[in-house]
Amino acid sequence: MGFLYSVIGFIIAIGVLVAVHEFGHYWVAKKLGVKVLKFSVGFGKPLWSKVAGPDQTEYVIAAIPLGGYVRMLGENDPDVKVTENEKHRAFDNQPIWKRSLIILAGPGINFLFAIVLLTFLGLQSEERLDPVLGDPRPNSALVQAGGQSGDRLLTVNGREIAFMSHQQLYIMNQVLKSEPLVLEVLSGSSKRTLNIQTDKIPIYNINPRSMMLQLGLVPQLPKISSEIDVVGDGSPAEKAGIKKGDKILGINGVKVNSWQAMSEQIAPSRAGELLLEIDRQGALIQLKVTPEVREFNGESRAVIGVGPVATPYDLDQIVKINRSFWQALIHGLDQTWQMSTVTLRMLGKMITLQVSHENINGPITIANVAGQAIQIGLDYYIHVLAVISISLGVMNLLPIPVLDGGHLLVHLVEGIAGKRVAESFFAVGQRIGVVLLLGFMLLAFYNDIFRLLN
Amino acid sequence: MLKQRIITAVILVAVLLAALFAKNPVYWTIMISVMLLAGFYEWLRFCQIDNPIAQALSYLLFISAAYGLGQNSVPPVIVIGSVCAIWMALFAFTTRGWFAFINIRWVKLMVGISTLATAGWAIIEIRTLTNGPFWVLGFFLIVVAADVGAYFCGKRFGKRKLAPSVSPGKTVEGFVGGLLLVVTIYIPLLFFLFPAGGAAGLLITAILTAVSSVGGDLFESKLKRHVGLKDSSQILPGHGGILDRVDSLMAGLPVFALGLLLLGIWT
Repeated sequence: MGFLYSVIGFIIAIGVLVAVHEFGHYWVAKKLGVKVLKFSVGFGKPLWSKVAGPDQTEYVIAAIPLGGYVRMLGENDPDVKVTENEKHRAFDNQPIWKRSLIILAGPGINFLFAIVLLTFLGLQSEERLDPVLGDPRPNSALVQAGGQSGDRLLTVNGREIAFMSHQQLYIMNQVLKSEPLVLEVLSGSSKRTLNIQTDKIPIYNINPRSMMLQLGLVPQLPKISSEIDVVGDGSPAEKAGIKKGDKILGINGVKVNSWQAMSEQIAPSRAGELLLEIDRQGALIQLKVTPEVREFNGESRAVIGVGPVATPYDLDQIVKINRSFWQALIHGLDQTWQMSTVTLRMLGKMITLQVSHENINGPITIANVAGQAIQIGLDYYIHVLAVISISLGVMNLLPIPVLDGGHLLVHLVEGIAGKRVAESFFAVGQRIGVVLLLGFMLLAFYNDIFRLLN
Repeated sequence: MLKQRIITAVILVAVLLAALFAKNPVYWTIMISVMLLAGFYEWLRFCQIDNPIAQALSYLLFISAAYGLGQNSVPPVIVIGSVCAIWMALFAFTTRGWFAFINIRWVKLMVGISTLATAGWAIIEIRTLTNGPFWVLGFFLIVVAADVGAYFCGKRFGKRKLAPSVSPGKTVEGFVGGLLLVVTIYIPLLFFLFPAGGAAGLLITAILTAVSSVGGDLFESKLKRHVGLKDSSQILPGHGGILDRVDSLMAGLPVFALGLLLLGIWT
């Protein structure tokens, strides 16, 4: 079933986004008077096609939904002869600004689409976590700057923090740039300013979650009971005979009354044997368990392999976010901008090997995420759609021949040099572009499959 | 056709690399085993063994050979040494026009079993060495570089035919170009990574591996010509068969492995 959702989620997402992208090219080309011969969503074998309009444009939906194209009159196409009376409608004969606009329209509409989606999401009433700090790690950047548990986050570099993950993307940008965060917090009743240094935050395997953890920007957790709901297969707990429903009362003689207290006892114990006091359906029993050491977000902890009962946050930890239309629009714009810059910055750092190549996702991972999103809910799926739309926009703007950004680069050279870039030069560029793109695809596929295998 | 070829290649290489670098070595073993079986299926077509019972027996023989090697009961140096010797003999037969002998069905079968099974076993073993995946990758790079260098150099400068009776496309200039590309890539790489002595030994290994890989290519061309097949099969869309892709790898690998053994990297 999960597989089916992934396939559906992927095809809808990519289909819609490719259609949107190509529609951008198509619409602007039409508005500027260029003759469009074909508008294809997907490539390969046509599944459906229709010829319509005064220009007899062929509209096609094709079998492989991984891309699409708009074919215009001209475009160095040897198959299509440009007649004398249609010369002024050929793409190649347009002034440079018109050609650039047509090219730009594809990625442009991807950003626009993301802004619309994120604005729409911003208009929905959201329930988010109150920006009050929980228990940051003692070695986190926040604690070193003087922050403490219970502080209420107000602003970061002057930007409002209305809920815990509000400025996450902005913060990620700052961390990627290694620039400091000036955090305004409410400590009791007094306002304080904390200067957080971000240059010590490792970025190689950066993800928003671990970054917030390392910064110390962690929310308060609900108090979770020490009752065990899940026992991992082959875990130390299973080997020791711990069962679902057991409630841990004490570890090595120390009383524990919550999940957090329990893991605090286990985490630093390394691989030494622990004596657990357990309440099993009213009977008091004792079990010995030898934990194993695992890596979590770059920190090694001893675990016994059990999970707690799912516990909702307390109501007073939740804030309701309602935005007016303008606030939602600004939210959409800001999110799109932050996401674009994070994507671009990550790509740049990948080229200089400061960020792991594992951050490149291929179709399998995208399908996976899309499939999960569909199952969680429409809001989540729309968010994923916006994220993919933005990455499509950013990727297409990269100055690689074959991609839109490559064409823009050629236009730029043309604009500066004052004459057309030579055909032969262009052909060489195309080849380099294809090789780069294939290498990129290879990496994406590799990451996908590697993830599946591990 | 070209598009199909490229897509197949990208996916195949991605899957191979992921299996190679996966933490659990079992994926690599599975991958190679599948390729071995497919390769052996194609080899039986070369052998023109059509009788189902003979085919079943051949598979049985092949699988037991591969399994026996996997038990590591014979010292690697003896296995690899003998396979190198077999390849030398095959090259000699290919180029001197004594091919009729190899073309005897049962000889061909034995050749196939010994070269395929050892190649598969060796690439699985090398993967388990310290930095194993990188040794495997290094080996692939040698063969690919020899091939790519030969293609471009042959296209640009190719005049004299390397083995006109076997492969009309191969030229001496291409062959040299392939070796040059290998040397160009590996001199800086090896001398950066290893002390001079080790680097020199590995460089010689790389060159001999490249030479042997070209020989493997020629040998399979000759074999196909004799049997009258264009491709070894149609398993890979746009590429033909597995053996068409791995012929040069199969011939290069024993030489590479022997180098690793003699240099004390594979112990």
